[in-house]
Amino acid sequence: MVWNVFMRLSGNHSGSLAKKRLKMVLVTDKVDCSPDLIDRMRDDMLHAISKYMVIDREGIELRIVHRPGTALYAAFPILDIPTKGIC
Amino acid sequence: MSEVIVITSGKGGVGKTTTSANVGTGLAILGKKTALIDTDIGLRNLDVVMGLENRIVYNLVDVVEGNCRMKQALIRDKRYPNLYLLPSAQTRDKTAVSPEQMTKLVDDLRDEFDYILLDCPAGIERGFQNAIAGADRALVVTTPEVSAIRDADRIIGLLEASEMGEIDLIINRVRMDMVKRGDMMSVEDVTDILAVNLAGVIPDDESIVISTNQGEPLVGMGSMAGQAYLNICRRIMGEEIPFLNLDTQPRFLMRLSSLLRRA
Repeated sequence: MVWNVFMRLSGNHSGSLAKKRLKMVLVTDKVDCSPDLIDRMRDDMLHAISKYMVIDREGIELRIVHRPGTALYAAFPILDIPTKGIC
Repeated sequence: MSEVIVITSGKGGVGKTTTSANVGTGLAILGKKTALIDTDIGLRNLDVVMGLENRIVYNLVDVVEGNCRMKQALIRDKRYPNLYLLPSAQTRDKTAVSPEQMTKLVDDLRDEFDYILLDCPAGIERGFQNAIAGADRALVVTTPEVSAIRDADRIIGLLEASEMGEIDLIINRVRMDMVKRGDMMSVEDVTDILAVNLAGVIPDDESIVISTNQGEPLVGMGSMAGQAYLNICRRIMGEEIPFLNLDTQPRFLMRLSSLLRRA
């Protein structure tokens, strides 16, 4: 009872908490994508980055992380940055 | 022209069968010749909600397997002569029927009926694939709970991927008193997240439990839920019907009136 009153006074209703949790869970559900999709994304990104940099293909890392927040984490190790004709 | 509508939800226990029974009965009340098909093979329930469980001779699997003609399996409703039920089989499983067979079964009914309603089983496996195969449009039932809405979102994604013609949402078991004090997601919260057209909102009403006990759908009767279901039927038929104000009857008055009814 006291807890309920406190929650209400602090503006933390369970309805809005439910909506926040639901939005979060839906985002997570949707980015839980297939390995095939990750592969295609990696190829597309590599294609774009290769125009400007020489990338170590073996060292590429691409994954979805959920904490803090949901994000796409990508690492493309650079071997060389050709300067002539680009910058 | 006939229309085939699948009633689905993903999650179990949100009110698919109750909605199928009431929408089917409502369409019959409004003068449409309607067939209700229970596609939940192995777990049939629509027959008891309709109060027709004692009249079953043949079932959906019998029709598909050619053990009987369609006319022998269709059960006429006890109250509305233009409403029929094709019951499911209780002792078989979902693999007894294929999506192609279900599509053919539904197509065979198109000439005879204005509306054909498919009560879909919970889940996203074979039973769901069977039920959506022959449908022109879908009614997705959810409740204002995180788990039910998450499943509804997944179902909507699958229906869109299968190029379902039209997808409408029914939000069931809404308690306005809880929404008002912020302890339940509102209709707007749910439609914000699911982003599909709203076909109707059903209040959490004890008259639903009573009507299920009696085996007589309450659509069109005096209760708020009965009115809400009839409005959904009119919207399905293409009429523009404003949404009910579910907040007209304070909770204590409802309690009082139900107490008086009992006395």
